[in-house]
Amino acid sequence: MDEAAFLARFRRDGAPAPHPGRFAGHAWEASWEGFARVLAGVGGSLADAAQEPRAAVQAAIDLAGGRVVAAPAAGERLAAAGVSGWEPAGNGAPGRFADVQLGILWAELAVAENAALLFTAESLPERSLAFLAERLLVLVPAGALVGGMAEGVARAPRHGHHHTWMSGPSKTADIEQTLVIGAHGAKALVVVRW
Amino acid sequence: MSSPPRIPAFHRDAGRFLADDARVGWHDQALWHLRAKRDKAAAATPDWEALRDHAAALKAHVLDQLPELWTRFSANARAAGWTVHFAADAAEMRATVHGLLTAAGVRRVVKSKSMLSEECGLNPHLEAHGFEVVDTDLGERIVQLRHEPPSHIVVPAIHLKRAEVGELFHRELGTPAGLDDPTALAHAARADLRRRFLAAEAGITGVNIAVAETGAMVVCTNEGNADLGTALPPLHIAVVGAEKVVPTLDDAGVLLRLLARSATGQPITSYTTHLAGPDPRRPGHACHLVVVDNGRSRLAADEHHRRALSCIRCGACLNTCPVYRRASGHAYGTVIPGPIGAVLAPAMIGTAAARALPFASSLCGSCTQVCPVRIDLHDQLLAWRRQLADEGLVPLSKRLAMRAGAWFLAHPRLFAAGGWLGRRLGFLARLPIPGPHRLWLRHRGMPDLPADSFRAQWKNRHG
Amino acid sequence: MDVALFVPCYVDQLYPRAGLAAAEVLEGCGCRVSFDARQTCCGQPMANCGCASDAARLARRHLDLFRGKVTVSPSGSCVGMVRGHYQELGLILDDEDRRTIANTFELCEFLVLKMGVERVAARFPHKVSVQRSCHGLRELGLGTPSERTDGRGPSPAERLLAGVDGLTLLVPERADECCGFGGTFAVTEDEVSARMGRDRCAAHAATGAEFITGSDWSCGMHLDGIRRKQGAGPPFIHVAEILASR
Ligand code: SF4
Repeated sequence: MDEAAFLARFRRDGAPAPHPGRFAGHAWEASWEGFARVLAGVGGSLADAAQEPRAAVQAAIDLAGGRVVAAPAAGERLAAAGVSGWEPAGNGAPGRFADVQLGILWAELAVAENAALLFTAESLPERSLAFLAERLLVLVPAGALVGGMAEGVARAPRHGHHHTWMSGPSKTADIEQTLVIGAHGAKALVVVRW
Repeated sequence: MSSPPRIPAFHRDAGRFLADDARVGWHDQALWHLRAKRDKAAAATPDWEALRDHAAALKAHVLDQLPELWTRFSANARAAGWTVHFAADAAEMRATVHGLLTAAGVRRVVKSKSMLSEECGLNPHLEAHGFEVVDTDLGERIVQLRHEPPSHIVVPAIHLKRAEVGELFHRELGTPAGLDDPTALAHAARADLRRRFLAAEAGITGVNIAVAETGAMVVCTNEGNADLGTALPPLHIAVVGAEKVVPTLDDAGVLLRLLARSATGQPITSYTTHLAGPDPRRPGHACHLVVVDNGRSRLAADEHHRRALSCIRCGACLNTCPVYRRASGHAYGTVIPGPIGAVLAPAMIGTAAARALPFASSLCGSCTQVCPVRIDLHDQLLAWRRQLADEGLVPLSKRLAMRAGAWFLAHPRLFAAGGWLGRRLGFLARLPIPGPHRLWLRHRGMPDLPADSFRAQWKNRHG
Repeated sequence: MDVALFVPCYVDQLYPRAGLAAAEVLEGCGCRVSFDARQTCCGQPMANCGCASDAARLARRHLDLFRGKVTVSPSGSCVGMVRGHYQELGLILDDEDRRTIANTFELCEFLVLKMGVERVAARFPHKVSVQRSCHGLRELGLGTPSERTDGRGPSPAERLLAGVDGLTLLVPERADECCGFGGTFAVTEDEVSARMGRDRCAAHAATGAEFITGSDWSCGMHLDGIRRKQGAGPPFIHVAEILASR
């Protein structure tokens, strides 16, 4: 159907109800303890701050038991830190990550309210890696935590092809309301402050 | 071709489900569990009620501004590379999607959850034309393999027990006989669907929110199936109801804070993805968005009921509804069951076809209290009842009884005398005379009838 | 204070004790209670069936009878009808009608919120489980519905019950789930209604209560009917009857 004719069906006379403006709600505390608590509640985990991040990542790679692929933004950091045992995402068909055991991603932002991590077209140009890898290791800059989702969304990109908020691993409760981790995407998600 | 819409027969179909006592208890408990999780999540959100107020106001604004918002959306979406289509009704939506798949030479399609595609009968249509359409949400996959509709808008297979899923997967996916562990079953489905994702030539998704400011669509899942279905195949077709647009990304953020908490008690879905057209890194990647009316403009013009278009499909009103929990979704006979389904049905499939549904409620009001966008669901049901009565669609016996009752009750002496007689002849109710009292007494014992009414006793005391 | 008692039609004919108890409690709190025997029904059954003009006929009668009065009723549901739904029936309402509507109260609501009563002198040495009837709770806003996070505290009825000598107040699992009565719903969707009622009876019984109480005999009629059919479980007693017990 023609757009104008379609839209005409919804046209209304009179003044519209006003837009309620920006929502000024609760000021959530930007605390990693809070983030860790919510993340554990959605099936993920936050690596202990006491552990040196480089060593934590290297240990995870050594235990991966298969292919380890890092998204570009994560790869840059790993290379600079001298972490080994991973390959860069490179270019090619999106299905090429189907046998990846561990995907290493770089998140731009973390939200304490809901344990959501932000990935954009910059940090994660190839989305399929995040959903095909068996497990995910997510590096987040320690200073990139905000309190509430409203603040998180305010900082999300308005341009660029995609962005994803990820809160914990993939899950389903479609069979008898029993929680199963790893419905389609990652079966585990560990966050490391970098 | 798609099957003709069913005429809901709530009483019959609810009765069928209610015949299995144990299943009803279990179904009720499983859904109550979701409600309890929602309560916990709401209580842990200090600005919850203010958030609901804000969302309700936002949705009211949106409903008044749909043409403006879609104009803005399509300009930005086209700039992002989407091809935007507009479909007046289900047939046009099916034809549009069908045409796009044919033009691209596609046969194998993966689909993530979209109540709109259910509403438009997209799957049966495409299957009848030789496409392989695989639902990839686990619950949807289960009901697809069983050739039945979803019974819930968020947890489509909630009416089934693990053993039934085990049997189904044994038959369809070759899992070991007797296997009924949910984790093992879900992982068997994962393995099967993973192959299909990798082989698919197109992905169809629904849309949770369209953002006018960015020309992007937002899709929310816990499984990650919408992400795989859009990240892998070279063609993406998104279908969206005309009510789903919001002005800005911040507005979308408000709804995101409410949606998963209301649905499952999660603070946000596992995956919340914004997609703005084709991926510039993927040569040949094509993205289409089909905006669908199919009765929405009619509802939007109905002053009494347009608020129902604010629905964000969280399912909270289903989970809390004591009638839904005991009758199950299939009893409603509509694509969307439960309180919101009963409110939408008369507008979408017509008052005559849907006339039983507004009465399938005790009007307890829990749905209204739970709705994240504050739709006055139980008052909407009551308003539909009035409209049905006006249109002569309430059974004649009921209308006559109400007319006679009102006349009788407008005459206090008659009322007093009738009551006096009734209390003395009440024992006759036990006789097998047909009438509504039989339905009452089928399930309930007779009260002890007092000798004197209040009015008589009051008169004795006060003269 | 002068109070006009509004006794719902089915209470008048089937559960007169609740009406007498309500009058007694009001008088005990210093009210002068009158009862106009021309009253019958608020029109709720018709309104709930969508038969607005039939309901309007009774609503008009009701408003004319109670015009200018402070009206109190031992039923949250019927008060909910007057306060929440009289404006939906196509009636022409003048200012006095609107005042009459606003001056219609559920018994405990009136005692606690209008008269400032905190305790009534009553004794009822029993364990009692409350049925938080939907219309009082969610339509009149008496108490805090379990769906909400902005607590308004316990309902006036529960506040008064908590002060009754010897009474142990119990709340069943799913604190405020509907009993399943729903007016004509109880017969048109009898299977669902009865299942809801059985589940509710079981939840009340599981508290170990000797009685179920509530502000509406309509829920009571249904729950008590289920109990009679099952031959076991706590019987229903109206809040007013407890508050009038010595
Ligand atoms: S009507 Fe409200 S509670 Fe029901 S599904 Fe829609 S948004 Fe959720």
